[in-house]
Amino acid sequence: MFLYELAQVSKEYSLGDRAVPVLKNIDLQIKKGEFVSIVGPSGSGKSTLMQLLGCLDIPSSGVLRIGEHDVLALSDDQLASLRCRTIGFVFQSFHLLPSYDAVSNVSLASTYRGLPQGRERALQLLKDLGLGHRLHHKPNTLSGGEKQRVAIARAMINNPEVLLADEPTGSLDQQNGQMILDLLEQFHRQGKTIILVTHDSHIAARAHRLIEIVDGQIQTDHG
Amino acid sequence: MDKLKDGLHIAIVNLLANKTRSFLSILGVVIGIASVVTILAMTAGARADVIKKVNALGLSLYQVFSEYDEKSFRSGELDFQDIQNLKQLHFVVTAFPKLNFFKEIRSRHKTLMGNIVGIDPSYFKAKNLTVVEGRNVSPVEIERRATVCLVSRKLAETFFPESDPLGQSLFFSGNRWDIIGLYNQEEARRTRNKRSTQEMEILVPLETLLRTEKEVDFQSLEVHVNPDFKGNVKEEMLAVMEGQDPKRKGLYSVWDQQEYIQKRLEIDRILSLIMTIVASISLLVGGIGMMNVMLTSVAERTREIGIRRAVGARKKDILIQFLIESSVLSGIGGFLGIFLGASTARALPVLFHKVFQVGPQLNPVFALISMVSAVLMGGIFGLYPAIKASRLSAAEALRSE
Repeated sequence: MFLYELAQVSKEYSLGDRAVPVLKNIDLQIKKGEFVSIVGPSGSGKSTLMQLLGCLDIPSSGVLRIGEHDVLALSDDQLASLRCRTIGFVFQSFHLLPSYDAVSNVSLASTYRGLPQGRERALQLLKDLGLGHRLHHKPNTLSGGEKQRVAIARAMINNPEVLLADEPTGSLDQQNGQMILDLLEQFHRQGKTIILVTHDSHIAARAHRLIEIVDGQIQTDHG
Repeated sequence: MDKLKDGLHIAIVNLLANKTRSFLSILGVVIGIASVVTILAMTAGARADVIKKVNALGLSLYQVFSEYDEKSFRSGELDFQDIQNLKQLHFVVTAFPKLNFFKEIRSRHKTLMGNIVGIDPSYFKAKNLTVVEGRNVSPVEIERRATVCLVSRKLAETFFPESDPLGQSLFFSGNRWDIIGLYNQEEARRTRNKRSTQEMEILVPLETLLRTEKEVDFQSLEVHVNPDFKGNVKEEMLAVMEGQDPKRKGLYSVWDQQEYIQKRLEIDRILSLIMTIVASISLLVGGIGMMNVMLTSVAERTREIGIRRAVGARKKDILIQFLIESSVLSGIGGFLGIFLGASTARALPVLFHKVFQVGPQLNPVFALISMVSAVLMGGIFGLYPAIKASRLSAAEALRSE
């Protein structure tokens, strides 16, 4: 059973009257419970691929299936619902809301899902991630490692199928970076599908499958 | 319900995060609502004052005038018989002539000009006056054409500053008139232009006056009517005035105070409507100002919108969030505006008591209307920015810095 099935997926952006292709005819399958890393130099299209996998954007052509859903056939609301239930995001620049404390940032995602006890679960998740003493701190009073752990807690609160991490260690020092990668591995052991996007081959090596993207096409796929 | 609660929470957190901007964005709404509330309160106050004055006068006053007929070159005549005839109508409480009868009045020591008015005992009740000292004229005195009079307190003080005016006499129309009473004007009747003539006033029995004076010109007849009577007063009075004589047709007219007051209130209503519309324009400007700030806010918070979309917010959720935010903002603006407006309405008559002689009337309904319109305005002017926010693409919004 594949979690992701991509067939001939292309994505182009229009730049004025010119269409710039970013992804060209991608064929890719990812199984449930895999730990995949997507590597490539900047501008290779790996971030665009991640946006497609995360339903933040839709392909220009081709077929993209997530579970039993055909992404191109879904409405905007259905895509939002899919993001909410199935996908957790971790970004390089954390993307926390500056005016919310840690707990509110984490429970935000559960609000949109409409689940009860969002705050209680957010508190528990943050405590599990060693942030019990930072529950009511706002992002600007947290260190980089702490911010990224808050972001991971937010990604996990709706118990998603897949965790999409876009350069999660990019803004962190060595030690904090390691901690975040350890956390991703831990979630993988618990059965989550992890997709890690990075330009750093050392970090990518932590994954069990390595997909290399160059110039909008899959160059190598070792797994 | 939970979504709304959460929306309110989000709105308040964001408003507090940008205190200065929030305040500036609602300033226009505050001023707009304040000016609407002020105008509503002031015009309601003026209206209540008119109604109060009318109630003090009684709503049942009619006046009969003589008219000049251009075809027959004749004008109507008003005389004592007309008064007697009008009093025969079952709904007429009482009737008096209006005279313009200035005479030289003498006491033993002084001579002054005074206004002489012919009355009967019902005069005081009808005109809302009180006899404060002495007594009213009696039917016997009318019967005997007794030369007695009642004087205003002002006139009594002018003629008899030292001694008790009761029992003293005044001389006019070639007769000696004994003062039997003093009366006071009600406050409501003391309008500025009437004060001087009314204050130097002498009331005498009408029948006595008509006997002592040969030339008494009735300018008009003042007829007080039972306010409970619902029939056509004007028509019945005209019928009495014209009698069966076709020559008298068209020589009289009847003026209805209630009709006049209604017209005046109607004009007041139109004026207050116009002023409210003008004030609403400032509210509109306030709303546009708020829309501008909301648009800036949407542009600045593009990344926030992207984050919310990424964690699962639908377009609808973003739209509702910004609508709630702008409604809460303008609701707060409306709340502050009501207080500012109420305070202004109270302060104006104190600060400019020459211009605003009448105090405001603050009605909770105004507060409710203002509050509802403020919140609605937030929704209306917040709609465009909210739609803009909800249409942002999640991927692009996340890329923005």
